Amino acid sequence: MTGANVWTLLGSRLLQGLLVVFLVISIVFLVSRAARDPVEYLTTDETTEEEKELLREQLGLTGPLAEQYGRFLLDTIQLNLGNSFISDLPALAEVGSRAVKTLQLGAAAVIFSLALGLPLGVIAALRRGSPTDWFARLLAVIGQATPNFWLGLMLIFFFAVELRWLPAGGSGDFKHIILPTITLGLLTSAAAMRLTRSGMIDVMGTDYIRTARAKGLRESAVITRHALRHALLPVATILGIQVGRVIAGSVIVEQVFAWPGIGRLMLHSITVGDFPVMLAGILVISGSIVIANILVDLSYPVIDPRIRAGAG
Amino acid sequence: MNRRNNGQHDQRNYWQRLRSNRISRRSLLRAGARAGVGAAGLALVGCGDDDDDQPAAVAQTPPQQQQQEQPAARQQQTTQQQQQQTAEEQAQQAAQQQAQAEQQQSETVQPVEQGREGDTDWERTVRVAIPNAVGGLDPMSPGNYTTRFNPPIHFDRLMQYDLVTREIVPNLAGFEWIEDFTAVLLHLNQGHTWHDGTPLTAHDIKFSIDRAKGTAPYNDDGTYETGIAYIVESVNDEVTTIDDATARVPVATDVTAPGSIGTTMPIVPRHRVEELGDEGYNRDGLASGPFQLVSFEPDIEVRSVRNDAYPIGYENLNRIHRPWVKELIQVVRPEPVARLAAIEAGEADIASPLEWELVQNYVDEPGFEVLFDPGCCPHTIFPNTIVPMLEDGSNPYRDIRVRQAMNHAVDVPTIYTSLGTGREQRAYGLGTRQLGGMQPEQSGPLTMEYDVAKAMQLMDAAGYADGFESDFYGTAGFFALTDQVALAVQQYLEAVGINTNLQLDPLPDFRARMAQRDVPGLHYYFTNQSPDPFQVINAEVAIGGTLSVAEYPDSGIQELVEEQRTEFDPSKRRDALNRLAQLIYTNASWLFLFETVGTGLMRDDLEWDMKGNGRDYGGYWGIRPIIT
Repeated sequence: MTGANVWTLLGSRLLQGLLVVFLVISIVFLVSRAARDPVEYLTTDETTEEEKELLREQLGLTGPLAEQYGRFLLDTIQLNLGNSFISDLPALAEVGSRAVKTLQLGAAAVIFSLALGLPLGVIAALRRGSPTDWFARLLAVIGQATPNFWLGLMLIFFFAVELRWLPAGGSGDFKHIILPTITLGLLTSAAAMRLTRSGMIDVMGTDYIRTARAKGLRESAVITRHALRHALLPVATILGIQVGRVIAGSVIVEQVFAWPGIGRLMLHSITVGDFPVMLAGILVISGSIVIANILVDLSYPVIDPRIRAGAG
Repeated sequence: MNRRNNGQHDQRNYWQRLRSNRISRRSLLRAGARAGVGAAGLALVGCGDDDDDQPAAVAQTPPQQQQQEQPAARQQQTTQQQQQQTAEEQAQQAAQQQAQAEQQQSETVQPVEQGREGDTDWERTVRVAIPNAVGGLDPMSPGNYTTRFNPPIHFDRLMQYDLVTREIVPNLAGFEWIEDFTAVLLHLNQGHTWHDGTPLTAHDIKFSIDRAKGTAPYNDDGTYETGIAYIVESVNDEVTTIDDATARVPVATDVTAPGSIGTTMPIVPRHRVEELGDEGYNRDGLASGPFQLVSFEPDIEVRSVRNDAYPIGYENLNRIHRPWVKELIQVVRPEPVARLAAIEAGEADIASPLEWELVQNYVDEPGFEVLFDPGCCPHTIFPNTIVPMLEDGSNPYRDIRVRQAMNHAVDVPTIYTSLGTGREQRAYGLGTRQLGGMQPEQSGPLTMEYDVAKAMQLMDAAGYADGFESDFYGTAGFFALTDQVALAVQQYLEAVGINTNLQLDPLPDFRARMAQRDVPGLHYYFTNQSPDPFQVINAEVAIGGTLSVAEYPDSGIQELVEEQRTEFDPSKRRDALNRLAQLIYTNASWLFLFETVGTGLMRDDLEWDMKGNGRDYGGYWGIRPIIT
């Protein structure tokens, strides 16, 4: 793939991504305005309709929906999503401060899932039909079937309450991220393991692997440099999808482990109708997923030279 | 019509079965862990954000505090009418002297240690697991004002209410009526300082009121948006400072004004707000209350220390006082089970609130003490009597016999003993019994006991022998029990022919519908826990009130509403309120359910009597660590 092709691909993906983000925040804007009146949260039983109307005006919730939408789009382009109805602080800054925590957790979960899923997948493929393969597949099924909410509580119960090895929640030091990482990463690691296993099984029987062996390459080199590289393509594809799942899953995991990320903030903002924070959160989340998928697209030629050669 | 199960339901209703089959979530967790059956466990464990209810609960706080104001304000008026005959200067001087005397007394009285034996551990750090801590630090902005973690423990109000006597008593200041009840003179108590050491003066009071009104000089363009403008509506002219300790507040002739400003509005430091601006102050708030904020990490923890310079000592434990706890750390644990885990894992000393379902296993467990916070928010069902309901244009709920039948049809004690802690009490009047709801003992006995036969007789007499259909709106997620109670009530009503179509919504949506006042059917809401019921009266009883759907123009209720509103004599007003509560009950105006009991869990080396004040997190100064 030439440099020009890379830029064309990047430009095309970016445009698609912007369209996706635009559609997502537009849908969220319209649905949220229809679903909840935040003034009901911010007022009391005694507040009269006139006072509520005044507050709506202060919060920019008056006027036709189309006018509000237009105002919202203009503000969004300028990255000015207003202040949180609750804290009165800039919404984007609030979300930004939380995004770091969610990215930490997400990155840790992805690393954990790859660190567990890839080796396990390779080993299972190489020892196909053995007890190790059986155990790895069982683990993958459990990982995919276990809801992370329940898993999180179980991990808290064992490691925090019973054994007292790890904290039950919070976000202080390294120890705090271990349990949420396992909870969030197990599902992805199961997917990575299964895809790696099946990819490896397919590849190991191909001619070029036989050729590599015939050339006298060490088995480890055959596996890592030839077989695994090819088997990683579907894993990379699924990883792009999993980024979205990891972020979505973080809402629950952050709730269980009191991890102060976007998920918690979003949950609260949806509950109380804090539109600026809600929309800023959606903007950051959808943007992150789009960027992750662009990175995955760009990684294909790096992982598989044939794509690079074909495109070039 | 599918009416009448003729009493068969009373032994076979589902919540009684539920009671016998109940499994606590903790037991479930243990069982689930041992079995390792994830999916099955999840279905029963569920995933809920129990602080869904808190926003709405928090939104109740300001008016709840307002409610306390009226009787005490009136009580003061009696003496103040006499004071008017003396010179204003003399009154000021006397009040200042009294404040100084109280101040001196506060400083000299030794801490009173009540309750369990054991010396106070003055060096103790106490960690409290709470559901959330979001927002900024400016207690006047709309969202922060209703945020629990901050204003109640860091910010002072001018006045407070005594948790036992329910009277308005000074906190930062005392007050007196002057100029024929058209102004209030606020006398600042001595010794109150901001946490940066700056003295708190009458100029701060004036500044706070002006800021809430949008007229503070630093904000002359009126851009500051406060959530509490309604509190200062009664201030109808400019506030003036007489001296550093005295402010004159002109008010409309409204007996609730002093209490409204006094007990509800947080006072903010003029120097800090002017120095930092609104946004800066929101990030770096400064307060004067019993706890001094040390650090605030949103949704992680709030760290505070005892304000050792707080001038109100321990002579009256029913009022705000200097805390016993040296350091207070509020740690955020959104999920109730995780809050429970935090206390079990030794990461928290108190976890509150926690559902009864979670804490009931700890009642006899060594090392723990279950917290009970009684007397919150009587559950009540309001029938809409304003608009037609049936196709023929009639509204059965306008007939007192139908309303009486409803009250006789529902076995309330069975509901709350089955689903609640068993410590609940029947709802009766305009608020809770503990905090000044009109006591049935004062007004007359409860007469509408569970009696299906009588309920059916009343329905027959009202011409609804075949029953009728009705919508029934309730809230989901505000109180843990509302959805289950609503289902129970639905089943009981069905037994006497009132067939309801139940719809449960989040509280804001529910309240918005109720506020429309033109939606027929039953509306399952609640009155609140404030010591004075004037908010309930204004919002839910008075004709045209913001949430008033059950209106009875010919019942005499409206006359009593006016009587209590215009009566300045506290004992006469109390009498009017008792008669009003009695009339609301004998008129079967609402379907009276029960007062809820909040629960939590605490380590047993602490002592904390919430006194009905725990729900708003405001009672942390009452936590006493004990040396065991």
